[in-house]
Amino acid sequence: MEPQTSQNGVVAVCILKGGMGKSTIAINLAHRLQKNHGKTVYVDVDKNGHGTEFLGFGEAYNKNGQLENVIFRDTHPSELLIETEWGFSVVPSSTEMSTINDRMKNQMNADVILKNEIVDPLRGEGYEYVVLDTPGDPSKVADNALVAAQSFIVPVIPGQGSISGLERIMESQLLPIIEATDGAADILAITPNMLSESIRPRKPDRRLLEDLNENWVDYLPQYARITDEQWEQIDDQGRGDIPLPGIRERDALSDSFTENKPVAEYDSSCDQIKHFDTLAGIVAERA
Amino acid sequence: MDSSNLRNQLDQVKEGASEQDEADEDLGNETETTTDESATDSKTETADPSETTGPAFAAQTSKKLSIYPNEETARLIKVLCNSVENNLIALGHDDFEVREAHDAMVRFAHEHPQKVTELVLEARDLDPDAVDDLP
Ligand SMILES: Nc1ncnc2c1ncn2[C@@H]1O[C@H](COP(=O)(O)OP(=O)(O)OP(=O)(O)O)[C@@H](O)[C@H]1O
Ligand SMILES: [Mg+2]
Repeated sequence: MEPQTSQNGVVAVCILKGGMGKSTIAINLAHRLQKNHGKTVYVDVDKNGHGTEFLGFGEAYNKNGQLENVIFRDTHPSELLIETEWGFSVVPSSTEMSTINDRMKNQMNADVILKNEIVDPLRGEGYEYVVLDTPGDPSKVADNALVAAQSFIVPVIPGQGSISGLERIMESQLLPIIEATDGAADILAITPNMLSESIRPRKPDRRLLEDLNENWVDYLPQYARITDEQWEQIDDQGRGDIPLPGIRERDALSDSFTENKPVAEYDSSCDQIKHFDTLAGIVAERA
Repeated sequence: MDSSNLRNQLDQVKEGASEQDEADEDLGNETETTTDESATDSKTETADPSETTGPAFAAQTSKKLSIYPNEETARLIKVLCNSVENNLIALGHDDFEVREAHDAMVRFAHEHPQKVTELVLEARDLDPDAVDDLP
């Protein structure tokens, strides 16, 4: 059964763990959504502001007052918008985020504040797609982001306990939302990230890919799927024309941020850009 | 998948994982196993804070060392410490000290010299699987 999605164009890139590539994927997803599908805004709600800094907006991150006024007073979130030369807009994170998180806890309807004060008004300004970059630890702000999004993309990397991070966020945060909305909310994709070129047996990459293909294949984008027959072929005869799965580790993906750009603006020949296009297609169709 | 399937699937996966993990022995999965257990345990047993024993060794008996990881890698120490701290909290121990993770990191690496060699090779852009050919 195809679940009915809420279809509001809002997606959260999320996992309860740091360093999985949430910001990398959120930024490049926003870029490809804007490029291929429609007006997009990237919203960084992670208090660490890494995504904001990746894009070179550290100054905005350190500026005080604005975000609090948007969330707790009547300031419109368009006041926070930064237009970029790459097409999509950015709502930067802020050093105020922790204070905001604490204040949120005492509010009525504490889980829909971000939706009401930022996401919906921005949608009203004509943004078709909103990409939320979420924190790696549980917080009120994170709950808010997930409730606002109802559509989730979850990145996992080889090793480092990322499978347990995946199970944790599913159990403690995503499932409750999905169940409460009777399946209107949904996980759009679980995507591997930072894969190396090695898929030899028993290596962390292999274990991750086997685990995902065995347990979560319905959520895997095509670029990460490997069938049992393909594994056999890989082990018996070599990989042949079976493509290496994505998203792989690429210098361009991290170096682009030292130049404060999405990867396609930094090196348009990077062979992983197509995977962000795939994710953007999934979001455009289902988020 | 609809939501009830998703829950069933998640329960199944978690059951399978705890059996399978015991057989596994390399770096990635050991980390996974530990965190895995924390995720399940925190649900089944309510953690009793009075059980908390405190750090295994005192700050005075720790040794200050300089280590020289690559800048990017250095950032991961903090990420790792956060994960360990979260896991301990989930198990009812809210008195984590960073030195404990540092101590465990060194012991962990010491038990896995081959894996460390692999990572060094990989950082040089050499084939990490070459360690499989070591005598
Ligand atoms: N596919 C990739 N190839 C190369 N580098 C990557 C890739 N994905 C992520 N990185 C790098 O790994 C680091 C962590 O990624 P990122 O900051 O996107 O993760 P995160 O989950 O948002 O982390 P945090 O919890 O710190 O916000 C960054 O330095 C990023 O440049
Ligand atoms: Mg981030």
